[in-house]
Amino acid sequence: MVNDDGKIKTLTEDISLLETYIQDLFSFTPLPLCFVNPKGMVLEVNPAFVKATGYDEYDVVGENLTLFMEEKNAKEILEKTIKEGLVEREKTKIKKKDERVLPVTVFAKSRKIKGEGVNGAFLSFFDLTEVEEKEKKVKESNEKLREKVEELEKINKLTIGRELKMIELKEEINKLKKKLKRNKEG
Amino acid sequence: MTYSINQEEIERLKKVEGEVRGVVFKTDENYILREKGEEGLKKVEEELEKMGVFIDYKSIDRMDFYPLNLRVFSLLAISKAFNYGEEEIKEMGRNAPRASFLIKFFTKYFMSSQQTLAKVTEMWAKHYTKGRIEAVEVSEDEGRAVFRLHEVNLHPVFCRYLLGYFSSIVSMVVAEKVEAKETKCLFNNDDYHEFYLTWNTESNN
Repeated sequence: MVNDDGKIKTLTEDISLLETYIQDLFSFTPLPLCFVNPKGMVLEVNPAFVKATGYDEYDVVGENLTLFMEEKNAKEILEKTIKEGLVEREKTKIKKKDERVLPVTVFAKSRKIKGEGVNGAFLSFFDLTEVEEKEKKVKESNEKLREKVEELEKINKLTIGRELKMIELKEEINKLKKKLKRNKEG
Repeated sequence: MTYSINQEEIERLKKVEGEVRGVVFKTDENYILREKGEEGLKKVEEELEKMGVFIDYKSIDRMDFYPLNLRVFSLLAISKAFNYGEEEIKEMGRNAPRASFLIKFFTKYFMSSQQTLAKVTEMWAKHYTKGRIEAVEVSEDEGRAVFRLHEVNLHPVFCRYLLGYFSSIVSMVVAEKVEAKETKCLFNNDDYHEFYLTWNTESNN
Protein backbone atom coordinates (compact mmCIF):
# COMPACT_ATOMS: atom_id res chain seq x y z
CA MET A 1 0.00 0.00 0.00
CA VAL A 2 1.23 3.47 -0.92
CA ASN A 3 0.57 6.02 1.80
CA ASP A 4 -0.48 9.66 1.20
CA ASP A 5 3.11 10.93 1.39
CA GLY A 6 4.13 8.37 -1.24
CA LYS A 7 1.25 9.41 -3.49
CA ILE A 8 2.13 13.10 -3.12
CA LYS A 9 5.78 12.34 -3.90
CA THR A 10 4.79 10.39 -7.02
CA LEU A 11 2.39 13.13 -8.15
CA THR A 12 5.01 15.83 -7.57
CA GLU A 13 7.51 13.85 -9.65
CA ASP A 14 4.89 13.41 -12.38
CA ILE A 15 4.15 17.13 -12.41
CA SER A 16 7.87 17.90 -12.61
CA LEU A 17 8.25 15.56 -15.58
CA LEU A 18 5.22 17.04 -17.31
CA GLU A 19 6.44 20.55 -16.67
CA THR A 20 9.86 19.69 -18.14
CA TYR A 21 8.20 18.06 -21.15
CA ILE A 22 5.92 21.05 -21.82
CA GLN A 23 8.80 23.45 -21.30
CA ASP A 24 11.08 21.51 -23.66
CA LEU A 25 8.38 21.37 -26.33
CA PHE A 26 7.55 25.06 -25.94
CA SER A 27 11.25 25.98 -26.10
CA PHE A 28 12.05 23.68 -28.99
CA THR A 29 9.50 24.92 -31.51
CA PRO A 30 11.03 27.40 -33.98
CA LEU A 31 7.66 29.14 -34.34
CA PRO A 32 7.19 32.27 -32.20
CA LEU A 33 4.37 31.62 -29.72
CA CYS A 34 2.66 33.53 -26.97
CA PHE A 35 -0.24 32.98 -24.60
CA VAL A 36 -2.54 35.88 -23.74
CA ASN A 37 -5.50 36.28 -21.40
CA PRO A 38 -8.91 37.46 -22.70
CA LYS A 39 -7.87 41.08 -22.17
CA GLY A 40 -4.84 40.60 -24.39
CA MET A 41 -2.27 40.62 -21.60
CA VAL A 42 0.71 38.44 -22.49
CA LEU A 43 1.31 35.71 -19.94
CA GLU A 44 3.93 33.62 -21.69
CA VAL A 45 6.25 33.69 -24.67
CA ASN A 46 8.62 31.05 -26.02
CA PRO A 47 12.32 31.49 -26.94
CA ALA A 48 11.45 31.67 -30.66
CA PHE A 49 9.24 34.67 -29.89
CA VAL A 50 12.08 36.31 -27.96
CA LYS A 51 14.45 35.68 -30.89
CA ALA A 52 12.03 36.95 -33.52
CA THR A 53 10.88 40.11 -31.73
CA GLY A 54 13.83 41.04 -29.52
CA TYR A 55 11.50 41.30 -26.50
CA ASP A 56 12.42 39.01 -23.60
CA GLU A 57 9.99 37.72 -20.97
CA TYR A 58 10.59 40.68 -18.68
CA ASP A 59 9.77 43.11 -21.51
CA VAL A 60 6.60 41.49 -22.73
CA VAL A 61 4.96 39.30 -20.07
CA GLY A 62 2.37 41.39 -18.25
CA GLU A 63 2.12 43.81 -21.17
CA ASN A 64 -0.72 44.05 -23.66
CA LEU A 65 -0.52 42.59 -27.17
CA THR A 66 -0.55 46.20 -28.39
CA LEU A 67 3.08 46.44 -27.27
CA PHE A 68 3.99 44.72 -30.52
CA MET A 69 0.75 44.63 -32.56
CA GLU A 70 -1.39 47.39 -33.97
CA GLU A 71 -4.26 47.95 -31.52
CA LYS A 72 -7.07 47.42 -34.05
CA ASN A 73 -5.53 44.21 -35.40
CA ALA A 74 -4.76 42.83 -31.96
CA LYS A 75 -8.32 43.47 -30.78
CA GLU A 76 -9.91 41.97 -33.89
CA ILE A 77 -7.77 38.83 -33.87
CA LEU A 78 -8.28 38.24 -30.16
CA GLU A 79 -12.05 38.79 -30.31
CA LYS A 80 -12.34 36.47 -33.32
CA THR A 81 -10.25 33.80 -31.59
CA ILE A 82 -12.31 33.94 -28.42
CA LYS A 83 -15.56 33.89 -30.41
CA GLU A 84 -14.69 31.27 -33.02
CA GLY A 85 -12.05 29.25 -31.19
CA LEU A 86 -9.62 29.24 -34.07
CA VAL A 87 -8.11 31.82 -36.37
CA GLU A 88 -5.88 30.88 -39.26
CA ARG A 89 -3.67 32.87 -41.60
CA GLU A 90 -4.65 36.37 -40.47
CA LYS A 91 -2.14 38.73 -42.00
CA THR A 92 -0.80 41.44 -39.73
CA LYS A 93 2.41 43.16 -38.72
CA ILE A 94 4.36 43.00 -35.49
CA LYS A 95 6.69 45.70 -34.27
CA LYS A 96 10.02 44.41 -32.99
CA LYS A 97 11.80 45.89 -29.99
CA ASP A 98 14.18 47.71 -32.34
CA GLU A 99 11.08 49.29 -34.00
CA ARG A 100 11.48 47.29 -37.20
CA VAL A 101 8.23 45.92 -38.55
CA LEU A 102 7.77 42.24 -39.28
CA PRO A 103 5.04 41.03 -41.66
CA VAL A 104 3.42 37.89 -40.23
CA THR A 105 0.44 35.58 -40.50
CA VAL A 106 -1.20 34.75 -37.20
CA PHE A 107 -2.60 31.39 -36.20
CA ALA A 108 -4.55 31.57 -32.95
CA LYS A 109 -6.45 29.13 -30.80
CA SER A 110 -8.52 29.83 -27.73
CA ARG A 111 -7.87 27.92 -24.52
CA LYS A 112 -10.88 26.69 -22.62
CA ILE A 113 -11.12 25.51 -19.05
CA LYS A 114 -13.74 22.90 -18.44
CA GLY A 115 -16.73 24.49 -16.77
CA GLU A 116 -15.20 27.98 -16.79
CA GLY A 117 -15.02 29.00 -20.44
CA VAL A 118 -12.29 30.67 -22.43
CA ASN A 119 -9.38 31.87 -20.32
CA GLY A 120 -7.08 33.03 -23.09
CA ALA A 121 -5.54 32.23 -26.43
CA PHE A 122 -2.37 30.86 -27.94
CA LEU A 123 -1.02 32.95 -30.80
CA SER A 124 1.67 31.86 -33.23
CA PHE A 125 3.33 34.09 -35.76
CA PHE A 126 4.68 32.97 -39.10
CA ASP A 127 7.31 35.38 -40.37
CA LEU A 128 6.45 36.50 -43.89
CA THR A 129 9.60 38.55 -44.46
CA GLU A 130 11.20 35.98 -46.78
CA VAL A 131 7.93 35.22 -48.54
CA GLU A 132 7.27 38.92 -49.08
CA GLU A 133 10.83 39.48 -50.31
CA LYS A 134 10.40 36.65 -52.80
CA GLU A 135 7.02 38.02 -53.83
CA LYS A 136 8.63 41.42 -54.32
CA LYS A 137 11.39 39.88 -56.44
CA VAL A 138 8.83 37.96 -58.54
CA LYS A 139 6.82 41.18 -58.95
CA GLU A 140 9.96 43.05 -59.98
CA SER A 141 10.90 40.28 -62.43
CA ASN A 142 7.39 40.35 -63.86
CA GLU A 143 7.59 44.11 -64.22
CA LYS A 144 10.92 43.84 -66.02
CA LEU A 145 9.50 41.10 -68.22
CA ARG A 146 6.47 43.24 -69.04
CA GLU A 147 8.73 46.16 -69.96
CA LYS A 148 10.78 43.88 -72.24
CA VAL A 149 7.63 42.55 -73.89
CA GLU A 150 6.41 46.10 -74.47
CA GLU A 151 9.80 47.01 -75.92
CA LEU A 152 9.71 43.95 -78.16
CA GLU A 153 6.20 44.83 -79.22
CA LYS A 154 7.38 48.31 -80.13
CA ILE A 155 10.33 46.90 -82.10
CA ASN A 156 8.03 44.39 -83.68
CA LYS A 157 5.61 47.11 -84.67
CA LEU A 158 8.45 49.19 -86.05
CA THR A 159 9.90 46.23 -87.95
CA ILE A 160 6.55 45.21 -89.36
CA GLY A 161 5.77 48.85 -90.19
CA ARG A 162 9.07 49.12 -91.98
CA GLU A 163 8.48 45.93 -93.92
CA LEU A 164 4.98 47.03 -94.87
CA LYS A 165 6.40 50.36 -96.00
CA MET A 166 8.99 48.53 -98.07
CA ILE A 167 6.29 46.39 -99.63
CA GLU A 168 4.32 49.56 -100.38
CA LEU A 169 7.42 51.20 -101.83
CA LYS A 170 8.18 48.13 -103.92
CA GLU A 171 4.64 48.19 -105.23
CA GLU A 172 4.99 51.91 -105.94
CA ILE A 173 8.28 51.28 -107.75
CA ASN A 174 6.68 48.51 -109.77
CA LYS A 175 3.79 50.75 -110.66
CA LEU A 176 6.20 53.52 -111.69
CA LYS A 177 8.29 51.05 -113.65
CA LYS A 178 5.20 49.85 -115.48
CA LYS A 179 4.13 53.47 -116.09
CA LEU A 180 7.58 54.35 -117.38
CA LYS A 181 7.58 51.33 -119.65
CA ARG A 182 4.17 52.26 -121.02
CA ASN A 183 5.34 55.83 -121.61
CA LYS A 184 8.42 54.59 -123.49
CA GLU A 185 6.33 52.23 -125.59
CA GLY A 186 3.65 54.84 -126.20
CA MET B 1 19.00 51.38 1.90
CA THR B 2 19.61 47.65 1.95
CA TYR B 3 17.75 45.33 4.29
CA SER B 4 19.72 44.21 7.28
CA ILE B 5 19.46 41.26 9.60
CA ASN B 6 21.22 40.47 12.85
CA GLN B 7 22.34 37.09 14.13
CA GLU B 8 19.36 36.81 16.46
CA GLU B 9 16.94 37.27 13.54
CA ILE B 10 18.91 34.79 11.42
CA GLU B 11 18.55 32.21 14.15
CA ARG B 12 14.82 33.00 14.52
CA LEU B 13 14.29 32.61 10.77
CA LYS B 14 16.14 29.32 10.69
CA LYS B 15 13.60 27.97 13.10
CA VAL B 16 10.60 29.10 11.04
CA GLU B 17 8.48 26.19 9.95
CA GLY B 18 6.86 25.74 6.56
CA GLU B 19 7.94 25.14 3.02
CA VAL B 20 7.86 26.86 -0.34
CA ARG B 21 8.09 25.57 -3.89
CA GLY B 22 11.43 25.80 -5.67
CA VAL B 23 9.95 27.97 -8.41
CA VAL B 24 10.50 31.09 -6.30
CA PHE B 25 14.25 30.48 -6.21
CA LYS B 26 14.38 29.83 -9.96
CA THR B 27 12.61 33.17 -10.40
CA ASP B 28 15.27 34.85 -8.23
CA GLU B 29 18.00 33.12 -10.22
CA ASN B 30 16.53 34.30 -13.55
CA TYR B 31 16.30 37.85 -12.29
CA ILE B 32 19.87 37.91 -10.96
CA LEU B 33 21.28 36.39 -14.15
CA ARG B 34 19.40 38.89 -16.29
CA GLU B 35 20.37 41.92 -14.21
CA LYS B 36 23.83 40.97 -12.92
CA GLY B 37 24.97 37.86 -14.77
CA GLU B 38 26.85 34.86 -13.36
CA GLU B 39 29.04 37.14 -11.22
CA GLY B 40 25.89 38.44 -9.57
CA LEU B 41 24.76 34.95 -8.69
CA LYS B 42 28.15 34.28 -7.08
CA LYS B 43 27.81 37.47 -5.03
CA VAL B 44 24.40 36.37 -3.77
CA GLU B 45 25.74 32.94 -2.84
CA GLU B 46 28.58 34.64 -0.93
CA GLU B 47 26.06 36.75 0.99
CA LEU B 48 24.07 33.63 1.79
CA GLU B 49 27.21 31.98 3.10
CA LYS B 50 27.79 34.91 5.44
CA MET B 51 24.36 34.16 6.95
CA GLY B 52 25.29 30.47 7.20
CA VAL B 53 22.80 29.51 4.49
CA PHE B 54 23.30 27.56 1.28
CA ILE B 55 21.07 27.69 -1.81
CA ASP B 56 22.21 25.95 -5.00
CA TYR B 57 19.99 27.94 -7.39
CA LYS B 58 21.02 25.91 -10.43
CA SER B 59 19.94 22.57 -9.03
CA ILE B 60 16.64 23.75 -7.50
CA ASP B 61 13.61 21.84 -8.75
CA ARG B 62 10.74 24.21 -9.55
CA MET B 63 8.03 21.94 -8.20
CA ASP B 64 9.85 20.60 -5.16
CA PHE B 65 9.41 22.07 -1.68
CA TYR B 66 12.19 23.85 0.27
CA PRO B 67 12.34 25.42 3.74
CA LEU B 68 10.30 28.64 3.83
CA ASN B 69 13.08 30.57 5.57
CA LEU B 70 15.24 30.23 2.43
CA ARG B 71 12.75 32.51 0.65
CA VAL B 72 13.71 35.35 2.97
CA PHE B 73 17.41 34.51 3.05
CA SER B 74 17.47 34.63 -0.75
CA LEU B 75 15.85 38.08 -0.83
CA LEU B 76 18.11 39.39 1.94
CA ALA B 77 21.22 38.12 0.17
CA ILE B 78 20.09 39.79 -3.06
CA SER B 79 19.40 43.04 -1.20
CA LYS B 80 22.87 42.97 0.36
CA ALA B 81 24.73 41.87 -2.76
CA PHE B 82 23.33 44.67 -4.96
CA ASN B 83 22.38 47.32 -2.39
CA TYR B 84 18.72 46.78 -3.17
CA GLY B 85 16.36 48.82 -0.99
CA GLU B 86 12.57 48.86 -0.73
CA GLU B 87 11.89 50.08 -4.26
CA GLU B 88 14.29 47.63 -5.93
CA ILE B 89 12.87 44.70 -3.96
CA LYS B 90 9.32 45.79 -4.87
CA GLU B 91 10.42 46.06 -8.50
CA MET B 92 11.90 42.59 -8.26
CA GLY B 93 8.57 41.30 -6.97
CA ARG B 94 6.79 43.15 -9.76
CA ASN B 95 9.03 41.47 -12.32
CA ALA B 96 8.75 38.00 -10.82
CA PRO B 97 5.45 36.96 -12.47
CA ARG B 98 6.91 37.84 -15.88
CA ALA B 99 9.36 34.96 -15.79
CA SER B 100 7.71 32.71 -13.28
CA PHE B 101 6.40 29.26 -13.87
CA LEU B 102 3.77 30.19 -11.27
CA ILE B 103 2.03 32.27 -13.88
CA LYS B 104 1.94 29.45 -16.40
CA PHE B 105 0.67 27.16 -13.69
CA PHE B 106 -2.12 29.54 -12.74
CA THR B 107 -3.10 30.97 -16.09
CA LYS B 108 -6.39 29.20 -15.75
CA TYR B 109 -7.33 31.70 -13.06
CA PHE B 110 -6.53 34.79 -15.09
CA MET B 111 -10.02 35.49 -16.34
CA SER B 112 -11.16 38.37 -14.16
CA SER B 113 -9.91 40.10 -11.05
CA GLN B 114 -12.86 38.71 -9.12
CA GLN B 115 -11.94 35.15 -10.03
CA THR B 116 -8.21 35.69 -9.66
CA LEU B 117 -8.33 37.16 -6.21
CA ALA B 118 -10.94 34.68 -5.14
CA LYS B 119 -8.38 32.02 -6.07
CA VAL B 120 -5.49 33.72 -4.32
CA THR B 121 -5.97 31.57 -1.26
CA GLU B 122 -5.71 28.46 -3.38
CA MET B 123 -2.70 29.83 -5.24
CA TRP B 124 -0.95 30.57 -1.98
CA ALA B 125 -1.66 27.13 -0.57
CA LYS B 126 -0.18 25.45 -3.60
CA HIS B 127 3.12 27.25 -3.15
CA TYR B 128 3.44 27.84 0.55
CA THR B 129 2.68 25.29 3.22
CA LYS B 130 2.39 28.06 5.81
CA GLY B 131 0.18 31.13 5.96
CA ARG B 132 -3.23 31.95 4.61
CA ILE B 133 -4.45 34.61 2.23
CA GLU B 134 -7.87 36.16 2.68
CA ALA B 135 -9.49 38.20 -0.10
CA VAL B 136 -11.25 40.89 1.92
CA GLU B 137 -12.55 42.98 -0.96
CA VAL B 138 -12.37 42.74 -4.71
CA SER B 139 -14.14 45.36 -6.77
CA GLU B 140 -13.38 45.50 -10.45
CA ASP B 141 -15.83 48.41 -10.86
CA GLU B 142 -14.21 50.46 -8.13
CA GLY B 143 -10.70 49.39 -9.12
CA ARG B 144 -9.82 48.13 -5.68
CA ALA B 145 -8.68 44.89 -4.06
CA VAL B 146 -7.74 44.25 -0.47
CA PHE B 147 -6.36 41.05 0.88
CA ARG B 148 -4.70 39.88 4.01
CA LEU B 149 -1.91 37.47 4.70
CA HIS B 150 -2.17 35.65 7.99
CA GLU B 151 0.32 33.63 10.03
CA VAL B 152 3.46 34.50 8.07
CA ASN B 153 5.96 36.38 10.14
CA LEU B 154 9.16 36.29 8.12
CA HIS B 155 10.82 39.64 7.39
CA PRO B 156 9.79 43.07 5.98
CA VAL B 157 11.77 42.31 2.82
CA PHE B 158 9.23 39.60 2.03
CA CYS B 159 6.30 42.03 2.53
CA ARG B 160 7.89 44.43 0.06
CA TYR B 161 8.49 41.68 -2.46
CA LEU B 162 4.89 40.46 -2.18
CA LEU B 163 3.62 44.00 -2.67
CA GLY B 164 5.31 44.15 -6.08
CA TYR B 165 4.36 40.59 -6.89
CA PHE B 166 0.63 41.01 -6.20
CA SER B 167 0.45 44.35 -7.98
CA SER B 168 1.95 42.74 -11.07
CA ILE B 169 -0.46 39.78 -11.00
CA VAL B 170 -3.51 42.04 -10.60
CA SER B 171 -2.19 44.36 -13.29
CA MET B 172 -2.09 41.41 -15.71
CA VAL B 173 -5.71 40.64 -14.92
CA VAL B 174 -7.20 44.12 -15.04
CA ALA B 175 -4.91 45.36 -17.83
CA GLU B 176 -4.16 48.55 -15.89
CA LYS B 177 -1.26 49.91 -13.88
CA VAL B 178 -1.84 48.92 -10.26
CA GLU B 179 -0.75 50.91 -7.21
CA ALA B 180 -0.11 48.83 -4.10
CA LYS B 181 0.60 49.57 -0.48
CA GLU B 182 0.84 47.50 2.66
CA THR B 183 -1.64 49.05 5.07
CA LYS B 184 -1.08 46.62 7.93
CA CYS B 185 1.92 44.53 8.86
CA LEU B 186 2.83 42.02 11.54
CA PHE B 187 6.09 43.91 11.97
CA ASN B 188 4.06 47.01 12.96
CA ASN B 189 2.30 44.98 15.63
CA ASP B 190 -0.80 44.46 13.50
CA ASP B 191 -2.55 41.09 13.50
CA TYR B 192 -1.88 40.39 9.83
CA HIS B 193 -0.38 41.83 6.65
CA GLU B 194 -2.89 43.80 4.58
CA PHE B 195 -2.26 44.66 0.94
CA TYR B 196 -4.31 47.44 -0.63
CA LEU B 197 -4.33 47.55 -4.42
CA THR B 198 -5.94 50.18 -6.62
CA TRP B 199 -6.18 50.80 -10.36
CA ASN B 200 -7.93 53.13 -12.76
CA THR B 201 -11.42 52.24 -13.93
CA GLU B 202 -14.07 54.16 -15.84
CA SER B 203 -15.92 54.90 -12.61
CA ASN B 204 -12.99 56.18 -10.56
CA ASN B 205 -11.30 58.18 -13.35
